[in-house]
Amino acid sequence: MFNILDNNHIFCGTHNLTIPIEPANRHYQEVLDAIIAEGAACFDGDIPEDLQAAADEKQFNQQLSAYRTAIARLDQYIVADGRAEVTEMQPTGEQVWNEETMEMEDVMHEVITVTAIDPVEPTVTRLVYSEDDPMAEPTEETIENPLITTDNAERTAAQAVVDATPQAVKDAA
Amino acid sequence: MTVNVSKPAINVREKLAELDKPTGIAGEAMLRAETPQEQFQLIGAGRRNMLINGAMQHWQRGTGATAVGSSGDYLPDRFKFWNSTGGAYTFERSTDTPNGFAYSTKLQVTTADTSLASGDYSIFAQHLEVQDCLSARMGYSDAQELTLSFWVKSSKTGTYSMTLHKMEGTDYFCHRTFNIDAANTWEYKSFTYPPNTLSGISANGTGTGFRIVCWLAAGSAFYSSGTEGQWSASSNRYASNQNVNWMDSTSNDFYITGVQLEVGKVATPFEHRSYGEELALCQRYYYQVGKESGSYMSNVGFARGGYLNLVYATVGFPTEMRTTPTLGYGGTFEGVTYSGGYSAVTTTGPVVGDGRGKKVGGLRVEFPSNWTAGDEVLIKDSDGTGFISYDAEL
Repeated sequence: MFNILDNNHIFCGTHNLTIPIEPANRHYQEVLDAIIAEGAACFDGDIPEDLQAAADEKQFNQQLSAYRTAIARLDQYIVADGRAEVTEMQPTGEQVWNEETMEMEDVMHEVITVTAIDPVEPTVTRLVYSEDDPMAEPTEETIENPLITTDNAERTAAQAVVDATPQAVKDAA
Repeated sequence: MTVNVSKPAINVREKLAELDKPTGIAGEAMLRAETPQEQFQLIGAGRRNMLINGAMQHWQRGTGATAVGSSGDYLPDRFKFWNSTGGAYTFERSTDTPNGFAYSTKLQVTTADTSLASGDYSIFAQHLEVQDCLSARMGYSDAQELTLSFWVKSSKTGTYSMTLHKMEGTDYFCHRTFNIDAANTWEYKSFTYPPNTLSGISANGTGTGFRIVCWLAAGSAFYSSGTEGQWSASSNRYASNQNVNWMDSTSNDFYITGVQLEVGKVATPFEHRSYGEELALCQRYYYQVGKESGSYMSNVGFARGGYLNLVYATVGFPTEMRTTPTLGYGGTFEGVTYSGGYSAVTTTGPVVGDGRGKKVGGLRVEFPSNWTAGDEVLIKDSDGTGFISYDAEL
């Protein structure tokens, strides 16, 4: 439980700490975390406006960072689908004289900007040994490719972060 | 006119034989070095260990077995420990060490967790200040390899992870693994992190630049999907998915000392700095007075008119602290005055901060009875329990 000691300090009676209002101080950051997590319940009396504003700003920045990370994860290719090659025409650095336009023109060539990646095998086969009979021949089991399983789980988690992000944070991204 | 000049004869065969002088592996490495910087690193010249208190010499907060909490706790200076599992473990100072060290940090599981939830973890770390990370040159094309070495011993054999986590700006991770091969045996481990050319750290700053994290237990949410020894911004690249669950038995212990992180791809012998020098490095992050019966804990304070049960005093820090510190206190204090005759009063506080600074801390001690206005009062540790601490840790 925290309370304001003076304009410069917060007191934590639980741990006998006088915490300076100083962003570089780790205990001050923990006070902000407590306000984000518990709200007024962690404070004895009203939370001062500037402290609440600092907690709100920290939460906003945390959500913004998580949102950007999640978007970047979703932008990665789906390993089950693979990735198509992308090319574009770029100047080689050489120029030639165009007699029709009477101007120097760039010589262009096709450059691969995104390499193709084949989709991974949808399933893999593994050997399963019997726990009851260690001497028995193992049997084969076909399961989803773990790379796909992991990719799906990470994409689902990233999508959940995006869905839970307030619109104001998305607008700032 | 003709002048005859004679020179001593040279045995060309002998001179060629001298070129074949054996130099040994180290000598050859020196000859092969392409730059003075490489030669400097090969002979281990200059300050090498980027970590502080790697030999576990300094324990300002205490040395006895203490439970580790989920929000992070310090006991040995500079090393922070977390436990966010269904189990519990303690940390303490130990004299069980490999040769050449006085102390190690001992961890002991006290409540087992045999089935970690995905978000569970038990870790410890040392955070490095931004301005102390320059030598790694992270983010530049000439970023440096960093080599970590340490002595470790545990009853739990298997694979553990050590992650270099760049924290300023965008988080980047690179994990390496080490194996504890034999139970209850001191083993020396060393491995190298590749240069991080992907993301840099500022030249100045007092926040965390990067940290080195040891994984004792990691839930699946922290498993890395990446390859060991590769830098990535992906947040799931924390620990190896082969990491043991060290929390799975109350028989499990873990000892570590001689922790060194240095620039270069070769682990050099542990850099033993002097006791006082290492303590001063620690005190930039944490400083404690007291816990020494009868010892003085502050400069002379005074009783303030109008609030005569309060004594105001100051504590000068031995070195400038990283940032304005948090003041903590505990135990029993004694206020002593010789103004108008000897008088002593004991109190358990509260002791709160008054004024702020990185070089001197102000404090205010509350006593159960009034002093006389203008009394000069000395604050002492009454019985070996009283202490005042200033915490500017990362």
